[in-house]
Amino acid sequence: MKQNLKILVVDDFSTMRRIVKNLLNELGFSDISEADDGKTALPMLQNGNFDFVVTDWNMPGMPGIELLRHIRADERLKTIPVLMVTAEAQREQIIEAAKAGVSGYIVKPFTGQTLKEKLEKIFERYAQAA
Amino acid sequence: MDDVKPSVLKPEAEQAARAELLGRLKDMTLALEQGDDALFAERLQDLLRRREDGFFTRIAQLTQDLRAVFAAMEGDSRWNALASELPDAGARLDHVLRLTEQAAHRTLDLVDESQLHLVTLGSCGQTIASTRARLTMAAGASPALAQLAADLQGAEQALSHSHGQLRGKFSELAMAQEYQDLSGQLLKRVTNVIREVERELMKLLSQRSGTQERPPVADKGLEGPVVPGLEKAGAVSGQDDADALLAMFM
Repeated sequence: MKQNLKILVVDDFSTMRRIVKNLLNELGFSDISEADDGKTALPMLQNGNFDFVVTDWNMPGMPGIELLRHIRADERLKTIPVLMVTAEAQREQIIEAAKAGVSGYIVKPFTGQTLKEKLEKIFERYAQAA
Repeated sequence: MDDVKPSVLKPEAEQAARAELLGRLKDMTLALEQGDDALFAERLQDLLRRREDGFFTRIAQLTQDLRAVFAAMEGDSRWNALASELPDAGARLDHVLRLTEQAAHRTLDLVDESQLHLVTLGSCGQTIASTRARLTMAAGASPALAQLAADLQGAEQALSHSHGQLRGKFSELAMAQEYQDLSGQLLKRVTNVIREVERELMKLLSQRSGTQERPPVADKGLEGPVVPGLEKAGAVSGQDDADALLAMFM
């Protein structure tokens, strides 16, 4: 995995942002920023040259699914991999996220191993597409 | 409130209504058979008007029933007590949310601080390893020094094993704080329900006293974390299930 990636972690719960950040640190990523919902995240993405987004779904302001749609609709952002890490386990929501172009979907509660596997899988897919 | 009963037609009245409807339909059939389109259209209009009248009669009955419910609430102080207790319940849950958040952050702080000690332990292990290597070289033919080097190697291995174990345990400890996000989301949902009930109740009570207040519409979009025993039919059974579903769209 390319460890010099610039990653944005979006979650309204500061505890979860910290946990995801710690896990990413353990996997060797150190350039990590945080946002507490899609509304805060979007301008950061538009101005920040981010390579990867890890986002929750259920957030006040702008939920993760809307952030994902904005990213996919933005010419400069649309290729950024977006990994959704959420407690939303409804099949229809996973399908909605897939249709909106999500790169990976992790259902909370999750383990560090799951996060590692999903990241590897996404990078693998993007490397093949490149 | 028990004495408020919904309005239903009695069997005799229902029978009479059916007979009347049948008569009207026969009239309409006859008009059609005789080619009297104007009469048929008029009868049809009558029928539709009657249906609308029935709808408005039911609305009127519902309004009457509601008035009866409000009347039954009059003088029952429990409603006012409930309305005043609900904000407290919401505030208490908010407090629980803050407490769990603080506890989770405190745990994560302690894990972060412990990481520094782990780094120190790691570098101590490296120092012991290099010292042992030098000692082994210097021991030469001295059995006493060779024994010291062997003892040191035992300690070095035990230190390395414990260091690895501690790293793993601290990582799990940090990961276990995930509960705060999940329980927090559930608490927020319950708090929202309480606030919604409170708003509706306040609205009801204020309408009774003659003042109007429009409550905001609650967001009921997402299901949130799966609660054991309260699983919805559409939820995936775990990460593997979610992966399989996602794979169908990739």
